Amino acid sequence: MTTPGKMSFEERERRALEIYEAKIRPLMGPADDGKFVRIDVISGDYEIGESSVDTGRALRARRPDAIMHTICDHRSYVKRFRSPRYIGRQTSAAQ
Amino acid sequence: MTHYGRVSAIDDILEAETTIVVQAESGSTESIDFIIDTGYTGELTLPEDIIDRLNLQAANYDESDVGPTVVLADGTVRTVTVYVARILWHHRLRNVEVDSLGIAPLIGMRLLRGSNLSIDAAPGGLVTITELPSPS
Repeated sequence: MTTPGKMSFEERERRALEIYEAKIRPLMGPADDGKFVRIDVISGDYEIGESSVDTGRALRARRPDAIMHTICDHRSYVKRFRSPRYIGRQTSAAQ
Repeated sequence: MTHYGRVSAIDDILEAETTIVVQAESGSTESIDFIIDTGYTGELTLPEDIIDRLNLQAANYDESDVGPTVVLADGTVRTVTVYVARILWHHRLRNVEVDSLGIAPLIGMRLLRGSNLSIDAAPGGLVTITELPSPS
């Protein structure tokens, strides 16, 4: 059994993309644009849905030992913050 | 349906802002000013103090299930705690993922998906976010 958390991000991503290309991508149609695909990179089991949280919970319920990775629009779903910010004030909401 | 906002200008720094109604865990609602950030690919971020105030529920990601990994502007890779919130967006209640990060609430491209964004990039300029016709 693989201990969760022991796999590097790169390895998890590599396995997920391999599983996705082999058995999930051929099933994806235009209606699946923007949907999250959560893949257990150990068993190859997966969930597709509108919410990455809900797909994660569903997959975890079925595969308690899952090591999950998320794909969206055929790409590894990594949230990116590309905007360095000037700091110097607080927004009104943060007061 | 259109969300309206304004371009704020403080110390000559322009930021496009709009207000979104966020529902707290108790069911009460709060209007929060968000900065529109097309360099952010997620839905929303909120600073920790606002997440605490709204008592939002964490999405229960564990170490092996970090959800989306976050890459910051300088290339730093890290994970953040993800919360679930309910917001009013284009006249409908919508569940969104909130990344706990930073000091300013941000709207990212995943929330803007399916909308037209227009910014008059001048102090006080008009910001509009209009729902696109859904593809049939």
